[in-house]
Amino acid sequence: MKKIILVSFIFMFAFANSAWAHTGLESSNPESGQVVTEELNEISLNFEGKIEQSSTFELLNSNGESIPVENISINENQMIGTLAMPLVTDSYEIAWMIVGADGHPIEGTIPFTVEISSAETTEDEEVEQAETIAAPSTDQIDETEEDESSSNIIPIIVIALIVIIGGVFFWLRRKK
Amino acid sequence: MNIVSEVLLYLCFSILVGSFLISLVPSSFKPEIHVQRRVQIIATVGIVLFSFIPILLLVMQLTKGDNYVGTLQMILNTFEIGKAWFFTFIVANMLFIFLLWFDDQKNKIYAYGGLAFTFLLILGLGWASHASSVGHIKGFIIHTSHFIAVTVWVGILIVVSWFSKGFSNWLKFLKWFSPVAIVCFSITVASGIGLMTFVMDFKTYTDTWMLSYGQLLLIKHLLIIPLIVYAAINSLLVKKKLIQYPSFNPRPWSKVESLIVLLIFSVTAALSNQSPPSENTFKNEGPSGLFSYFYQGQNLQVMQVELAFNATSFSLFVLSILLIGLTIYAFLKKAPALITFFLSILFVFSSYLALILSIT
Repeated sequence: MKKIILVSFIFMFAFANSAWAHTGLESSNPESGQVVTEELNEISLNFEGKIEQSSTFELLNSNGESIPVENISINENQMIGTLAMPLVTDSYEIAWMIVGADGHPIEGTIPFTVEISSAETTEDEEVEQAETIAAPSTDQIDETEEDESSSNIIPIIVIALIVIIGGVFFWLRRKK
Repeated sequence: MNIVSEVLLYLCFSILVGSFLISLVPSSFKPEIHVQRRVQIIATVGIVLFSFIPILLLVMQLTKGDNYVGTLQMILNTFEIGKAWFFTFIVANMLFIFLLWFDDQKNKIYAYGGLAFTFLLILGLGWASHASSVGHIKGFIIHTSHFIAVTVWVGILIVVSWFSKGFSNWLKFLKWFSPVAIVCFSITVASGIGLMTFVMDFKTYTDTWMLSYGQLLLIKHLLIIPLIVYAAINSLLVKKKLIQYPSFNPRPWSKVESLIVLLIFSVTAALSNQSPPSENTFKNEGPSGLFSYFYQGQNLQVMQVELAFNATSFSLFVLSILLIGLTIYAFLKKAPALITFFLSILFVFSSYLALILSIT
């Protein structure tokens, strides 16, 4: 009996899942939100674990047009692609799609900006920088409209549970 | 599809391990039991098929155009899960032939051989999910011991409660099975804590409730409470009852215990298809739908959860305790065991609500 009580105390932290950490993005060049001011010829992505063949990425400019990337190579947890020509000033997005070694496909995006300074005014730069900072927080979630429905349902659930417990209890009591 | 196939995969492993182990037990220490060779062969084939489902889904997802065979070849040749499945396929074939050609099912070598092949299959399964990550050897060992402990305990439980004829020698069976179950359970708990530290910090346990992953982990942990109650009923109370009334049939109660285990398997399978908890997961996927439905606060921007009792959650806690009490009362009153299964589900439901509604 003591053993069982002891065991039941540790249960809360027991039975973790059998899943493994899925292979997420560890670092990248350029990084998310980075403003690149030098010539960019290569994009590299580092993941937390080995990634499988068929993993790939795409480079999109601010109009959503795909920029050609030459020979994407995959080596253990690194994916490198070279650019046919250096990027011009614009905001870009790397859209990566990988399969981790645990077989789970994962995807994500890395926004960044290129500013090769030639005739840009400082005003433009500021605007662009502000945009990059704002970019990652666009997908905020709004779930407030559901609050009403769930607060009505809780009392009903509580009453239903009381009725069930009471019903079963009296039914059991009548049994010999 | 992924979840169903994974539950069935766990079930096949449990049946194989349980049936080989129980055949090694002298007949005076177990109820009359005979697992047909057919069942073991079906379980072996099941392991091959159900472990192939994730690969099949991956082929569907990755194939561009209609080159399905090419994609499949690429996965089998280069992907870790592909290589691991190929290993499973070979070993399962060897087990299949062994089961088919070994004449004497009562011979101990039949059971030992079967166990050895099943052990190799478990290693293959563990490799499939751990080949990649940092510190993978450690993860692989902990996961494999977690899986073995579960299959030994649950395997014997399932085989004895569903494949036995009658309940002779039940007291003698309990005498050795209860300690075995406690040891296996302890190993499961310890390795479970070990696995959890890989994916989260204990301090963030409640924070992860905002994600599907944390929701499922919470439900899994809540399901363990009824499981412990049934384990206590099936070892302590059944023993008393059998001494008092030798005609008492304990099998329905162990069957219900195995049904709870099946539920835990299902939640585990669902868990393994979720991204583990992190700020990134929260940013990318947002809070879980179930969480946002019941959670009545406004602030869903940060992944942070604090608990405090209120009247509603307190009453739900009391109801949860009553539901557990009712399960034991039902046993004492010789009510049908299946009714208590529904009580257990209600328990998980109300204790889940109690915790979610305590969030401030």
